Amino acid sequence: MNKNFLVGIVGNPNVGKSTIFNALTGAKEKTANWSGVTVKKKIGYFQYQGCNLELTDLPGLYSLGIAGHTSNDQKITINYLKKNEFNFIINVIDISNLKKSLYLTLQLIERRIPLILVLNMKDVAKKKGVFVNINEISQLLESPTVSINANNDSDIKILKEFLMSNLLVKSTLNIFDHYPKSIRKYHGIIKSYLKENLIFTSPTEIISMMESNLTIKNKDVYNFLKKTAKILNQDLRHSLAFLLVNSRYEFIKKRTKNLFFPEKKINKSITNIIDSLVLNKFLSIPILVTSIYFMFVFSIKLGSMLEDTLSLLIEGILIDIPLCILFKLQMYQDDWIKTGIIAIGEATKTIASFVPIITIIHLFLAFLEGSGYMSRSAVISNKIMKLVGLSGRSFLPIIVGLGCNVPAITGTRILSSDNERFVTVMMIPFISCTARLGVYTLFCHIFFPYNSQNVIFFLYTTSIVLSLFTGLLVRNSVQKTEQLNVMELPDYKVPKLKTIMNYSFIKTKSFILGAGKTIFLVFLVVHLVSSIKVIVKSADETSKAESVVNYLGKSTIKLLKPMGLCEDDWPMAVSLASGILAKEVVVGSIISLYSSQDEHIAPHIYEKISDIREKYKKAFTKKYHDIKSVFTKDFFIFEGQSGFSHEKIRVNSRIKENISKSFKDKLAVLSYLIFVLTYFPCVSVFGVISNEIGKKWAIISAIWSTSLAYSVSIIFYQTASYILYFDTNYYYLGIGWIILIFTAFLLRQTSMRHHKSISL
Amino acid sequence: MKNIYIKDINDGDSFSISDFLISNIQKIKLMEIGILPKIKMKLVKKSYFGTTIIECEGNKFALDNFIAEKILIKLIES
Repeated sequence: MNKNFLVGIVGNPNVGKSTIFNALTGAKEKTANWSGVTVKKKIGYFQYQGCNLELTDLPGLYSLGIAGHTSNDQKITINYLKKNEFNFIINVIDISNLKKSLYLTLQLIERRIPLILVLNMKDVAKKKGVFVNINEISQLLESPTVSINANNDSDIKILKEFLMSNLLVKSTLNIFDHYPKSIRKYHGIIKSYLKENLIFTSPTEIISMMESNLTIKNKDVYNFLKKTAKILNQDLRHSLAFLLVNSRYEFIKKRTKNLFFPEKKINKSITNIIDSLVLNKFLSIPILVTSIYFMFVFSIKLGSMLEDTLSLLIEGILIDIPLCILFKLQMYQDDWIKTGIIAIGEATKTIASFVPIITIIHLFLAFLEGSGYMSRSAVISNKIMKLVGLSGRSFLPIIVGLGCNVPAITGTRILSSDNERFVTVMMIPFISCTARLGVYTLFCHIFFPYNSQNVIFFLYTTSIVLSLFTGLLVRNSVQKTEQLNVMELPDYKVPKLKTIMNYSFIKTKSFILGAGKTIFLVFLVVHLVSSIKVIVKSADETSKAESVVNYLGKSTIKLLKPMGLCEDDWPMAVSLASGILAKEVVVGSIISLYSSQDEHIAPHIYEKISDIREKYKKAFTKKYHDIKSVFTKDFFIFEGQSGFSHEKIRVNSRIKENISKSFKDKLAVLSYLIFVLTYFPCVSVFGVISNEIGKKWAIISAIWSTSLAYSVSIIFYQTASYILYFDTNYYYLGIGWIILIFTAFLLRQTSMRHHKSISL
Repeated sequence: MKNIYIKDINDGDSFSISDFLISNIQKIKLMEIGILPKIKMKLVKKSYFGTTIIECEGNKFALDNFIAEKILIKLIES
C-alpha cells in the first residue's frame, strides 16, 4: 500500500482551514476571523500510523468561479484542483453555516474529486443550537464525514484517526442524477459529443466548460458548445451556468431539509448588539480611530515599561559583565576587544528594546483580526477608499501593512479587480510598518519622552494621508468599472488567547530573526567600514585621514539641509542610505555610528562586581516603583514624567546622549522621521511589488516614495519653522513644492497611460 | 405585490429578491455566496458608508450601493 499521500484543504473563507492545517502539521500559519487571511498555498507535513501526508492549505473560496471571473488568491485553489495532483481533498465546512458551505462541496463532487468532509466549529453550532445528522450527510454525499472543533486537541486526534481510516476514499456519487432533467440532458449531450469525437476530458473539464470557465482551443468543440448554449438559452431562457447554480441550491434546499435543526438566536444577538455600536453611523469612525489610537497608547505604554528592563538585562549580560571580566584580566586597555564587546552588546540591546512594543502591537492586531472587527473596519472605510477609486475591501491589506508591508502587498490578491490591486499595491509602501516603529521608538525616547504616543500617532496618520494621496494620483479616474463588491461580516468571536499569543510570537520571532539579524549585521558592517580611512584635503589645504563613512556622510548631508539637518547630523544621512536594505537597519547604523563617536568609557564601574550589582539593584528598584506608579496613579502619565526617564537614559546609553546633541531642534527630528516613514520601500517590499505588479512599477514606486519623502520633509520643516519661529527659507520651500508638483504630475501621467494601455 | 428597490424600505424591514438588474456573471456571483432570489432577507442598514448591509440566512453581507440599487425586491410584511 502507498504510504505517501498528497492532500489539499479546501473550503469557504473563514471556516478554520488554516487552524486544521496548523493542528495537523504543527505549523504556525496565521489564522483570523475575516475572509482572505490565506492568499497563497502553504505546504506542511504530518506522519501518523506509518503514513506520510503532505497537506496543502489553500485560499478559501465560495465557488470555483464563473466565466474565469475570480480573484488571484482563489485562482490558486482552482488551479490546484484542475491539476489533479492529489490523492484526496479535505473539504472543511462550517457546520453552523452548512447550507452555504455545501454549495462548494457540490461543485467538488460534480468534478468527481475524492473528498473527506470535515464539519468544523461544532462548538459554535452547539451554541447556536444547530444539530446536524452527520451519518445522513455522509450517506447523501457518499463521502466520509466527521464533525470536529479544530481548537480541541482530542478532536484533532479523532480527525487524524478518521483520515487514516479513509485514505483510499473514492468518489462514486453522480450528483447529476439528483439535478433537474434539463441539466442532466445537457450534461449528457456534452459528455457524449466529447466521447464520440474521442476528445478525452476529465469531469472537471466538462463542468468547467458548462460554467464557461475553460478556454477552449479546439475550434469544433468551441462551435459545438456555442451552438448547444444557444439552443439551451432558447429552450430554458437561462444560461447553463445560471441553471447549474440553481440546481445546486435546489438540491441543498430539498435534500438537506431534515438533516439539521434551525439555529437559536443567542450568538446573533451578541453580534447585533456590538454591531449596533461599532456600525453606528456617528460612532463608527470615532470607535475605529480610537481603537487604533489606543493600540499605540497601550503598546508604547506597556512596551516601554518592559523595554528598559530588557535593555538593562542585556546590558548587564553582554556589556557590563564581559567588561568586568576584561578588567579583572587586566585586558581593559585592549581597544579592539572592548569595542567589539560594546558593539555586540549595544546592537543586541537595541534589538531587544523594540521587542516588547512590537509584541504588544501584534497582540492588538491579532485581537482585532480574530474578533471579526476587521471586516467592519473595511465597511466603515469604504467611503474613504472610494475617494481613491477603491472599495473597503482594499482596507484589509492596508491594515495588515501596519505589521509588515510584504504580506500586505501579497494580501492584495484577495482583490478581484486588477485596477484595485494596482492602486492598493502602490499605496501600501507608505503604511508605517513595525520596522519603522523601531526608528520612531528610538527617537521618541530621546526627543519626545513626554508624548511619544502622540508623535507616533501623528506619524501613522501622516502615513495614511500620504498613502491616500498616492492612491489619488494612481487611480483610474477615467474608466470606472463597476466591480462586484460584497463583503461578508462574520459573527464576533472572542479570539483564543493561544491564537493571539501564537500570532504575536511568530511575528516577534520573525522580527528578531529577520530584522534583528539584519540590524546586527549592518551594525557590524558599518562599524567595520567606519574603520577604513581616506585622505581628504581640508579648507586650509592640509591633508588628513578620515573615515570613509564620515566622508560620504558629510558629502551627502548637504542635500538634507533643506529639511532641517545640519553638518553634524551626517550619521543620519549614512543611516538613510543603509535603510534602503531594510528600514530597521536605520537604527543599527545610527547606534553604530554614534557609538563610534563615543570615546570615553569610564572604567571605574568595572573595578568591583558589587558596583555593577548596585547599579542594577538601584535601576530595578526604580523600575519597580515606576511600574507600580503606573497602575496606582494615572495610566496616561507617561514614563519620564516621574523624573526617572532622563536618569535612565544616562544609565542605559551614552549613545542616546550623542544623538540628542546632534539635532538642532525637534522640528528637524520630526522632519527626519517623516523622511524615514516615506522614502524608498525596503528591498523586500521592492521585490514583492515587482512580483505583484511588475518591475517597472516597483522602480516608479521607489522613485516616487523617495521624492515624496524629500519634498514633504522640506515643506513640513520650512512651514513649521515659519509658524513657530517666523523663520523660513523660501528658496528651500520653493524647491520642496516644485519637486512635489513635478513628480506628482509625472506619476499621474504614467498611471493614466498604464490604465489606458490595460483598457485597450 | 409590486417590485420596489432596497432604498424604498427601512432598516429592519424584511424582503425577498425578485430580480437582479445586473450582468449575468454578477448575478451568479451573488447567488454563489448565498444571496438568492425568493428567500427571506433583512435590511440591516442602507446607505452605510457607500454600502448596504443585509442579513441573509444568518449571514451578514455588505453590498456596494451600486449593486444594492440594482436589486428588485418585494417587501415581506412581518
